[in-house]
Amino acid sequence: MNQVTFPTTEDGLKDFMKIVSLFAILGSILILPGCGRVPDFGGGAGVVPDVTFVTGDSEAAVEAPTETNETASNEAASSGAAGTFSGKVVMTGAVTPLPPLIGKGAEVKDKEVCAAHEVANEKLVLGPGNAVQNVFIYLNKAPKGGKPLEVPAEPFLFDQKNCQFHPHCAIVPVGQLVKVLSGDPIAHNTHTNPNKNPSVNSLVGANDREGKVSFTYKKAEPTPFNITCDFHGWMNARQLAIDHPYAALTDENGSFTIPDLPAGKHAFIVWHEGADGGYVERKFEVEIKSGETTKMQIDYPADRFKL
Amino acid sequence: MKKFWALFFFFWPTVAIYACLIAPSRGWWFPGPPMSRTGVQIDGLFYLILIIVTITFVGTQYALGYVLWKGATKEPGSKAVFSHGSHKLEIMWTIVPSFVLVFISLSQLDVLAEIRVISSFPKDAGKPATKVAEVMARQFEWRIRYPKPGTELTTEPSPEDLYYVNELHVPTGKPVVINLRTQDVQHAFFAPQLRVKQDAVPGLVIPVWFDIKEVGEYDLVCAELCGWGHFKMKARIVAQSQGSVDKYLKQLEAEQNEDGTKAESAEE
Amino acid sequence: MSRTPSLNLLVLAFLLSVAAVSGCSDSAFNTSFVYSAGTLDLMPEAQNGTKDIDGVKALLDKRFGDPQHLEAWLKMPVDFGGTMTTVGEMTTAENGIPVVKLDVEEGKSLPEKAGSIQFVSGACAGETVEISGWNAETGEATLAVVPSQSVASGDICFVDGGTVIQSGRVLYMRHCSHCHGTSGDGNGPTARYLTPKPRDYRNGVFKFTSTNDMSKAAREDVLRVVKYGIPGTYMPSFLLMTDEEHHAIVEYVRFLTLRGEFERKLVAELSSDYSKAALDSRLKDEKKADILKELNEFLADDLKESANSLGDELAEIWATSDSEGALVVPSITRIPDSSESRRRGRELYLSKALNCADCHGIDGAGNGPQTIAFEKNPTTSELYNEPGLHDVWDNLNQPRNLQLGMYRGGRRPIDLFRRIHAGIKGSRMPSFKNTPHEDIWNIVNYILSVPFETEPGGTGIAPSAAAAATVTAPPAN
Repeated sequence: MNQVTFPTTEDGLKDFMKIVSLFAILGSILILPGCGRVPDFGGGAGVVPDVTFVTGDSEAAVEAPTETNETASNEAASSGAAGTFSGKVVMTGAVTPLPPLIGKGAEVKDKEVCAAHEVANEKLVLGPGNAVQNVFIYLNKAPKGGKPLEVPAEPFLFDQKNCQFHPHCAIVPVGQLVKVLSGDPIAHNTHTNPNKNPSVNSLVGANDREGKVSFTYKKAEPTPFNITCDFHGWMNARQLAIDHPYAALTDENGSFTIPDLPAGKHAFIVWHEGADGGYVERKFEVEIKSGETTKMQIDYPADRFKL
Repeated sequence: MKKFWALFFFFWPTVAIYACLIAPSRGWWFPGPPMSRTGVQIDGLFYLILIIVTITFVGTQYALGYVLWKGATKEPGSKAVFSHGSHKLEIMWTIVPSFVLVFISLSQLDVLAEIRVISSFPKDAGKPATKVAEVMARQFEWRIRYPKPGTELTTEPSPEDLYYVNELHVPTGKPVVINLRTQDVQHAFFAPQLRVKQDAVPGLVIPVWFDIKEVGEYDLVCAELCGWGHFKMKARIVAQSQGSVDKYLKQLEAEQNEDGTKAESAEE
Repeated sequence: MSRTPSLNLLVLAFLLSVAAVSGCSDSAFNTSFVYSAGTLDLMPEAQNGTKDIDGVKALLDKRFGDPQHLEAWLKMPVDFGGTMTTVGEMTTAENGIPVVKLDVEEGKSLPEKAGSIQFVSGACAGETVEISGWNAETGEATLAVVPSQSVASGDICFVDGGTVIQSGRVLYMRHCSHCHGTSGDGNGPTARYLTPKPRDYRNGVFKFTSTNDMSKAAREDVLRVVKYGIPGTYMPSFLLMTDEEHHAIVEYVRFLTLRGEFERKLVAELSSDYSKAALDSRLKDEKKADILKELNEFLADDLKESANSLGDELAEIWATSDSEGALVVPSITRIPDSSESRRRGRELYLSKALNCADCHGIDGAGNGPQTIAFEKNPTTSELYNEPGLHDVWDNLNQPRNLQLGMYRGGRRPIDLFRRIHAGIKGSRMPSFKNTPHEDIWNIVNYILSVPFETEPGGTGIAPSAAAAATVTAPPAN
């Protein structure tokens, strides 16, 4: 319709020249400001940022409440205003026990050592009456009026034999030395994956009974974390690092006891590696009366267990 | 209007020639004088061709401008001249340029042979020039591999070779050869101040020689578009006396064999 | 006049230029730091906080800023640049020009030239004032403008503060950000085309370090990588930059790393109870209002207080990693390379006690059985999609093919010693710190000979091809 052809008449040429010169002017407006300057349109590489200094302790340090409470708590604990929480964790509902993880003589790596015996699947270990072993029950934070953590002087021995960690689950106080031992004639590498502590990934020598690999947890962890062996992918263990003594692990009967709890209401975390998301209960509320033992059964519905 | 166009086409070549005349004083010219033996020869050829081409350019542009002007200032209404062309003119402007071109191509043959033909590489006191290093171009750096001092450079890595990156030390005063390779895509070994340029082709090992006259540091840049980092693929060629190069290689050897136990030689 | 084609063109040209020019505004090219996946996985209220209570994002931004306005948190072990001084006294001359006399610590000196003062504490905290006249000996600075508040004696201030980090940011954006990203998250525009992926600094993990397995990377390690690149990857060498430029880039990389780690630590405090997944499972038993109340209490009291101690933790671990004590130093000099040493190294390599061949393959080709096994992600306990070993960034990270002679962390014997002794942080290469150092040296000698073996898994080069003795002469520095 509007054919663009090169103008041939005088008038056409004048128009053309007008357009050309206008383009030239507009083009220079756009291009020339950039000439001779590093473009710094506001962001990007060219801009030199401004720097404001923030001092280290800009917020006034809040008085650590635990200090004042400890003196009170020692009195409270010794004056007997403490109770005990004990109980049992039982799985309710239809339960199918897990098949063994590795059969005897199975074709796995290093099978002379790792498949010398049958290896049970420790994800769900049930006792009589469907009592659940290896359930962590602990408080999120040290309670007010609680007693301080006593860190054992002797180290915690974390062993592995026939490509299985012993113990499978453990509660380790912050500050206690953990020694990794091995009773196998082959190499393992123990790889911890904590949330707040630095991770450890070290080769554990064959038949190392001294525990040359050792480490200490410096901070409490919010939930138990996984410890793996990269050489044998099925090996794993769970450990919880805590900075207060109010934590327990259920035994082969599913039983646990937590003594010296300050009187009052407490909300316990009930955690098991097989539960969906790990939490069997996020807040298991218990009322502790001083001088008394509160016995409760914690139900672990089978549908919360995720294979 | 016609005069405008005639002047227009006469104006721009004049600007071009003016720009070329003022170029050296404004720094729009070579990056310094040629610092190697081949560089001098190459520059000479360049100037030869430049002179020939300038004469041709001035001649043809003047002729163009003249013809346009003549056409523009013709009386309107005058009759066109019928011409069947000039056979003589056509022969002239075929034969003369072909002679010129043949002359140019012949006059550069010896320089080309010296640069490109391995058997024509210059000898250093009767022996073939020393292979000082292998330069492996990769996106976006230059990896250098020197042979262990006292040994010869092998085409494939040897156990005691010394490695560095982005800095090539060569001795001055004698022709040296480097083996040019590339680890990934095409690059080009371009040392502008030495007037040395050679494409690095994947799969080939290409010997490149140069003879640097003076001690100093020279640029090594990549001249074959090789990716987003092509513009910053730069290295240094450090030309030193043979003694300094030997000292440098000894130091490199010591650093490369560091076992971390000597307290004084703890990392820089 | 009627709309001729030329007029249409004119109108079009006008509109286009208006559109182009209007894009050239300040904010059009602003960059910003990204928040980690962990942060974005938290409840929105935890991320953003409320009007009065800082959420994770605000806590982070107040201490690190955004790329246009950086906050230099003095607690962090980063050289921000400038000299820290205290104000001795401030006097105002009769013509109204203020002069500040600065006291400097014992043993430190004031720079020869100074362009500006940043006040860090006191009434003028956060202000930057230009210096019009500077006397380095007396420490007197004549200010170009009067500060908005009064400057008291004892106020902390910086002379030319922030110059290193400013220059670091400009250089980083120009040279590094296209792969490593604006926030150092390893996800810049070119990162998608690269294998291996560029480093994501925010884990605080650098693979090729000279420190022991429990320490972070030393400054020297980052500097080495910047200067010499990593052969076999897309990280090039930036040798031709000046030393100041290297220093600025290293400090800015540390700044980004600390920011990322601080963010992770904040998230670690919150994620078990206040992540989106946790919220979903909690809503089954609790009311949202209760959860929010708990969250706000936690943010206002606990998190605010712990932000400082988290910063202290970071500062301590990074500062110790830079010290001599963290360096891996062999207890014996390198055992000279010989066919005997290599044979011993090969024996160790194949032994069950060390298990090298499991990953690196019998011939050192990086094709051991572990490379075709499916492994589980240790944090989520789910299998990875593809077989082989992965690193802490969940990228496929197969063991090194030793036959290539390409050593990413450096090819000096000490570098290989350190790879073995401390392992490679972030990858599945464990630390072999309890292996005797003679054994490690023998393995190092074996590894260095693998590329030149006449047959795979063979015994190495024939003895007649002279195994060179280690250079014992000190370097000619």
